[in-house]
Amino acid sequence: MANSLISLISDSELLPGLLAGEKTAFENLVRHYHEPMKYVAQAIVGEAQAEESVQEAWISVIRNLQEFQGRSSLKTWLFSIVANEAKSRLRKNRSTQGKREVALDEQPGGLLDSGRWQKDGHWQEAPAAWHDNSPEMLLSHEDFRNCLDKTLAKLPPEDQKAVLTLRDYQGLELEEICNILGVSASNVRVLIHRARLRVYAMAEHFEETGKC
Amino acid sequence: MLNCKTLVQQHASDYLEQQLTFRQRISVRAHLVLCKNCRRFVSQLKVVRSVLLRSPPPLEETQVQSIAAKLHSAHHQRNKS
Repeated sequence: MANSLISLISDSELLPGLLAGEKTAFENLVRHYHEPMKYVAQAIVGEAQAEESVQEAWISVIRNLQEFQGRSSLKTWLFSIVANEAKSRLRKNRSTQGKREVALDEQPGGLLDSGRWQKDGHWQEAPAAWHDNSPEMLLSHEDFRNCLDKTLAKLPPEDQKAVLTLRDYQGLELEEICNILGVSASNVRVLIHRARLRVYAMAEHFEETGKC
Repeated sequence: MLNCKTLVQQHASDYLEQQLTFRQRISVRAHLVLCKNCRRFVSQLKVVRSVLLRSPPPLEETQVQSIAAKLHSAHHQRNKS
């Protein structure tokens, strides 16, 4: 079953248990960070090799856990490790490494759709007021949570999923995301916004029809 | 003057996260005073942002248990040696 509503966990809740080798601490670590780590790897090395990068990263985490100094947060440390693993894999795959390019001209949808706008930039189809006008109300619908999971799973390109996860769910600073993914701040901001617009479009459709 | 399309497609998230320049911020605020549709959009985008703050990507519980068991075991092996 998907864990759509697991809450954030603090380093102080996780670290002592990890260092003591408690099984539940490792379960919490994986529950909270495995998928976000995979999105980071996907953004760098592509979907096919993301899982392997995460596996390598976990080995590195176990190897270095006792030396974790807490200079950064645990999650920033984890994301940096997986990003380094993915970058290393990418270097092996490429004979020449160019600067990563982020696809910013993806196929538009929802609010990026030209049919939504008049020629002068005014709304052609204005946004309807939502019945569920709070996060609690939206998330109270199981169907909405399922739609949200599907939308997040389908976010293209992979960079969008990574930045959205790191920024909105993990709460990382823009600068940290730039460092982890190796993309510019302006690209990160564009990717975050486009990902949110896709989720907005899904929520809007859900409000109108009750479906994804 | 800033139009609705530009505000929605380019500036809305930066506005919410206070990443706009002073001039851009003034321009967005002036637009929002006059435009009910964009006010509604920005308000609902805030809801989307809050939804995402609370909704981690899912991982099957069986996978959680399986991966965690391997890590737990590797950690014990390492501490023994």
